[in-house]
Amino acid sequence: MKRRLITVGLLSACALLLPASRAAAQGETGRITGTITGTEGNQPIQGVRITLLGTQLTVTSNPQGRYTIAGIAPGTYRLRASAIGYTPVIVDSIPVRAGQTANADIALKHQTVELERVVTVGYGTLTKRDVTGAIGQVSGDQIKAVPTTNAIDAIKGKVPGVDIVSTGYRPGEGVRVRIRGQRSLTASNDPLYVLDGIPMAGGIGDLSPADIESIEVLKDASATAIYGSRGANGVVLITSRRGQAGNTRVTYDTYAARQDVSRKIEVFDAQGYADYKRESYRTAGLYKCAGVVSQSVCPEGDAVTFYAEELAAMKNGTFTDWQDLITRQGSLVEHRLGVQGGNDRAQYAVSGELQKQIGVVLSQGYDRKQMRVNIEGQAKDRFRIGGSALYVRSMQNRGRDNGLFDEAQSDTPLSVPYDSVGNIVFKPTPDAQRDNPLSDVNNWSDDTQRNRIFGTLFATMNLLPGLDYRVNFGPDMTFNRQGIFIGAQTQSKQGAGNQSEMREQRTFDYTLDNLLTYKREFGKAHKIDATALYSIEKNNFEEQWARGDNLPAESFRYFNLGAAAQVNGISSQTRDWALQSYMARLNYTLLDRYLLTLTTRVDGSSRLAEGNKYATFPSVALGWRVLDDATNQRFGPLNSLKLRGSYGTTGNTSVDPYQTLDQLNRTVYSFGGTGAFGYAPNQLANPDLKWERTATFDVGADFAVLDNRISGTLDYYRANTNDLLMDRTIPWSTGFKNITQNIGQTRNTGIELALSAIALDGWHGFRWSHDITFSKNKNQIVALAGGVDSDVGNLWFVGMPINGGGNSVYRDYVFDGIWQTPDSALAKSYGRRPGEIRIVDLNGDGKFNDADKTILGNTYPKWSGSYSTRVDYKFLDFGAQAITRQGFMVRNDIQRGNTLAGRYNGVKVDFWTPNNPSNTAPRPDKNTESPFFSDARGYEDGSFVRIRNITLGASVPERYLSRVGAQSLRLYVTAQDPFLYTDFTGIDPEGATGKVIPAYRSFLIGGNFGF
Amino acid sequence: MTLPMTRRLFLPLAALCLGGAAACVDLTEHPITALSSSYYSTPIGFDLAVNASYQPLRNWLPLERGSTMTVFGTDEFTKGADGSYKFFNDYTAQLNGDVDFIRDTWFDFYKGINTANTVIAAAPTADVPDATKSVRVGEAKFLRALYYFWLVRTYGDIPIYTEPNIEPKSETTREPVAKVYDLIISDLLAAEAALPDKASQFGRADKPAVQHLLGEVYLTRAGAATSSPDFALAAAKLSAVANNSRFQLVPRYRDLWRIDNEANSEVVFSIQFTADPLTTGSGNKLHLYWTPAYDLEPGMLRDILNDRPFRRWRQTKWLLALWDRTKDSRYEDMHKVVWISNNPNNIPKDAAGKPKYAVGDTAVYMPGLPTIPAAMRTATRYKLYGEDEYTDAMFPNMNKYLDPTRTSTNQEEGQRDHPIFRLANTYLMLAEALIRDGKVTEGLVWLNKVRTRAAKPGQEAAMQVTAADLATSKSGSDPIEFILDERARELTGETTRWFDLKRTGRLVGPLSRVKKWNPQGGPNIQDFHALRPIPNVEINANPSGSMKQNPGY
Repeated sequence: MKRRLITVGLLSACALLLPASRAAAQGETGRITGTITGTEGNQPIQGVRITLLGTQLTVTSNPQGRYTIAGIAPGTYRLRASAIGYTPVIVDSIPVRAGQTANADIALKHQTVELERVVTVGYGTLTKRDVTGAIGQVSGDQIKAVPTTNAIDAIKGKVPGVDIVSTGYRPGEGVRVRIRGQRSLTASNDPLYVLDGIPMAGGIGDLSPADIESIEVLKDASATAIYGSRGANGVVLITSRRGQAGNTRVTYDTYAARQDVSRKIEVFDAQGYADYKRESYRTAGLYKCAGVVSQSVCPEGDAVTFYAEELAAMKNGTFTDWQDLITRQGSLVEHRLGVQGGNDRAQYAVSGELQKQIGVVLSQGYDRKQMRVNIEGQAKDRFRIGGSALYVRSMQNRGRDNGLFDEAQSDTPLSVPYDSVGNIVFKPTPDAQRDNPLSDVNNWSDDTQRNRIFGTLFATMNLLPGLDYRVNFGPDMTFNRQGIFIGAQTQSKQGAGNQSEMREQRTFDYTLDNLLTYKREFGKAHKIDATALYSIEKNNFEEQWARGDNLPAESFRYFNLGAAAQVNGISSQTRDWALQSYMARLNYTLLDRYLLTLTTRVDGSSRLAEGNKYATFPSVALGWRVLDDATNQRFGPLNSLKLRGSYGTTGNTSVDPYQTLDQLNRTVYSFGGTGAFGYAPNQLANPDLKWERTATFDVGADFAVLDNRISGTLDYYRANTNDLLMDRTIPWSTGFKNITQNIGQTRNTGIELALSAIALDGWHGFRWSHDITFSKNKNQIVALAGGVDSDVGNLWFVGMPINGGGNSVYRDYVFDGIWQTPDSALAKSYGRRPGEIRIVDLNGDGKFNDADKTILGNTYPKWSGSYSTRVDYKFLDFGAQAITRQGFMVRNDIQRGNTLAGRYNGVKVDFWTPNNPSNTAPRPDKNTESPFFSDARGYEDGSFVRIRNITLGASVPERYLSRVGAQSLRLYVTAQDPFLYTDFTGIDPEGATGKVIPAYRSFLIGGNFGF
Repeated sequence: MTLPMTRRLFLPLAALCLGGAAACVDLTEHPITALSSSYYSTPIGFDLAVNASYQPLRNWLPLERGSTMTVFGTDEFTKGADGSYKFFNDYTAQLNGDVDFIRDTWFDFYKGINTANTVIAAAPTADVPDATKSVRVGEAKFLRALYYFWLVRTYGDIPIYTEPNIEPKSETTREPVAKVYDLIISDLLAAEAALPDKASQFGRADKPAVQHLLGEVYLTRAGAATSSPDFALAAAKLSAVANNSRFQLVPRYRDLWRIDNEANSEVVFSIQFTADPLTTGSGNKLHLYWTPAYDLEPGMLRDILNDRPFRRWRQTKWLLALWDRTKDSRYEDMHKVVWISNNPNNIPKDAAGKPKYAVGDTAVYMPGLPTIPAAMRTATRYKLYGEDEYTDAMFPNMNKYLDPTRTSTNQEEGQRDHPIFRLANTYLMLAEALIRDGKVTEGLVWLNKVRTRAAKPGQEAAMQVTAADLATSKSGSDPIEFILDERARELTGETTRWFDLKRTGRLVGPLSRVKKWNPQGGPNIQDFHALRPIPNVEINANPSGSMKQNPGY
């Protein structure tokens, strides 16, 4: 928004300078004036850009929708009115006579196609019709509609080619974002996040979704090449909400949600557990009735098998569902107050937000408070300055985290959590590894407090018509403090001792950009838009950590390490890196029809070796506006069609600093009780480290058909990554395990489709729209270090997807059921017994060994997509979204980790016994810590369809509101993640595949108020 | 137009240049909290490289890794209930080049060798007094020899490096065992000449430590041969230690394992640990592995004193029968067989519903009887175990490494030093070298010194052995058999057994003691098991295929 205002301002300035003098020379002039209103409801529209075609004259409408264009030479003119969110309108044949005022009122219709929107591109904005790269856009309204603490989570399923996966469900976390797949084995695969032009060193997680005006995702090389060394994984541009000239507007947004665990793990219940435990003792020959191993149940067998506590529970019928005890109904509440306004010289936006989440698992929660100020103004005619500041303070409580859920699933149901007077029983059974998870809830904390200050400052100066200079400065400071306290009454400490840790991390990052932009039209045929940049970024990281054990009072938690009886660790460190860049870009438009974008960026990174620090990343993109609705062209049902093609390179330097240097690591030894620290060679120097480069080829089309009722974007791309930064394993006998080098090659190929359709547009007051996205990405390794085809140790295979960076390729034994009694002899030849897991002897050598492992699958979906629909009827609105990922494998760690050793409870399975020849789960055995080849049981298809969001909203009509001084009021109810359709048997195929914090669904009610 | 335009351009251009100047960013890396190898030429840096050369000592024997590879799968110990490395005992196909213990052992020692090589290479230019320098180089050579000695016995032919590696190599070759021994011996001879009789700090290598090691190296090079010049060479070095007045056998065997007696007169060289978590690293973890599941017994719960019950390995029946317990104190001295009740909540109750005993009374007792007589059982309130009732989880607790000084029940980092060269072992190797070299009488002197110390009061004479006894042991007529038996009695669990069996030809082959006495490993062990597999990661990192796997794996 801000940039558009600048553009408008600049154009006005041009208008003042050039044509005015020409008009004066020609004698008297005329004016055009009018009012811009919306077709629905006749309300005035502010900020509409009105251009007198064929001249340089452009103005914007005021808050009353009024506009005036003065100084027009007499003649007949065409007028074009455009605004974000509306279909542009062209009014023909307006006669202007000297000294007279012509009237042209214009009604704008809400836009049904997206081609006219202004999109943010790196270091500037473009109207969507001028874009040559592959860019996905999500509006602030779409983001706001998803109740989440993480803005990126809110764009899930909205942009094809952007794969967003939950990495966990603990409050205040976390998604993994991959744009057009994964390309790097060791360097980061995370995209670059840029807020209002400044890269966010500390990530986007702290930003309130409600403060976002729009998010643009740059996908192809043409769009990302201006970020050169950092653009290889795609770029996410975030434009924050800014003030607008006009009446002061106060908004209050709130919602309250209840959150419930969406799925629990079905473990053995009391009876099932007793049966399973007995069976495990039978298998080991320990469950004896009258002196012989018996399939029946007898007190003397039970006496050997169960703890006294378990026998008592069986006798008294007191059983415990531990998962029930540690979960609860969670909640998420948000309040946000915003004030924005200003006049034509200065605008501001101020907001404050409180957000509190109480997790569905006891002891977990997230609490965030933030405020944001955004101010900009026209200091002088040619000089504009502005800035923003974001302050966030958050507290994340994790407690024992995933371990708590593990505990609850492992504890015997044959025990009680509370004693007769209601106190928590620390050890429900004597088992040395188990305890009461409720005791962990009280005595185990892991709290992360985060303070983030992110500021931006800019100044622009108009130097000459069309030539602007801009400077950006953006400091980003993050302070992280993690405190861990583990008291005596916890699983870790088993009743004695305690542990406390404090970790403090500080990151300071700043970016300084110097930008020159030049926009000019040469006659009617040529239009250029050029940008030059010099930019630096510096980053410093500091960390301290200390751990003390056995504090005299547990009430100290992690705040009094000095009182610890024993210092168990202490460390501190600092790291720096810097980046220096030069960039130039030229957008050239010929005949308003042929588009060309040329970009080159030169980046120098401190993290690479001397002599290889600098690299150049060029790109070129071509666009052809075959049909342009804005000029009333059409061909059959086609209203508009733009073809795009681009090719370019981007880089990746996201390796840790100091990889080019040889390094020593500290060693610890002692002589006679005295510490003897040392330093041993630990990393080889790597004087050849250079950039990892990705070359992307992209072709795409933007189109609209049937009176713009259906519009869409289709892209095909192929991205080859060379000089892959990879940890190459070297012979370990050298005393070093590996070295980070540029070797190997990966490729991503894919297609992306986004379709929007308006099914009904004003039919009896109904408006009904659909949005569909579809993406298919194929990831593969093309070449590996040393020319080999496979690196089994790292699970890297030529032709297969990349293992690493959060994605997995699974290589394991092939599950083949359970050895059955009739096959005893064959089982014996493999050293196995009936009741044990059977795997496929792939090479048929009569042995089970590593050679029988094969690649079973991977976590990359074959395709993914989403469908959203929205219905508006009078004051009601209804929306729903479904997302899907199809054809990927997940590892069910709950199945794999099912020990069936009669010691811990586990997921309920139909286990084998001599009388129950199950072919799915092995026989429990007390003598085996976990079943042989139990890993082979854990692989499942993770395909799912998730109903992401269902919302019903009602807006109170303005005529009622104006009486109480309000402007807008909308109330809504939403169900977030209410349904999941999948064959996966664990909790959630996305973020909860093991004994971890479970997924949850939310039901919320909220309101948006405007005054 | 020209002038104003210039003026208008001036400010931003100035800012650009200013920005450019301020930001003429220095892209050179200057790490502050990291060091690089140029540091080694400073006096402190040189010393720190020496200290760093010692560290790999802690990473093997005092951890599950090294003890699994030296204690497990022998005649002494077989598998207990818990643990994931049972194939080291069972010699099954899971014992392959992918196993992390196999891999990490290889890496840690080669990393130590590279560090020691760094010391040796940095010495000529290091800014350190010559006297100190030669001692430190001696220490580095001792450590390099020790690491190669462990490697060559474990893996066979191995790559040799005598210079520090400063750039990535992608090819390595295996050198023959004999060549490795040549390097080890020349290093040790140099160290013997350079090192003082007593090191400046307890725990540093000194001359006796070198001589003990050299004796073992010669003995190992001789292998199972009936005659070899190495026997005399070994005897010479070992007798230098045995006759060194610095060292004396500790009068009572049990006092060797008192945790306050770690620097006793019998320690020739020990791997060092401290009670301070900042300097003890991952600690000595040997206390974990021999402890049975006492905490599942009535009247008991896990506590610091009784240690953490990992129950990794249990005694073979053969081992339990090895001591003549009427004369020999060592079985009793090294085993904990009584557990005192510490848990009032699960003390068994009698018919009247009263607890059978109280906290502080005996809860579990293993009297060492083959079977508990019924009468004894009914007369006893607490739980009794006969030897026939020992299970994979419950057996006598070898107490040499118990560590009651840990600060919490589950703490794994123990503070005990791990004495890898002990005078009794020097005596036993000296006796072996002499006896196998035909000097039986001389050898028996040293053997009997060890046995005399082990005698119960008044049984000293009965413990003496003669040449005749050597030839008539239950294990066989070859004196080696008696010596191996005696080593098992004296050095039980002292992380040397697998190598002892290997060097005497008793690990694999027709005389394999594993075959005879390890019930699970015996049926599976084959000749190729005398070597461990080469880590697959090393083989795969040599694309030309110059690294070959040991046969059989």
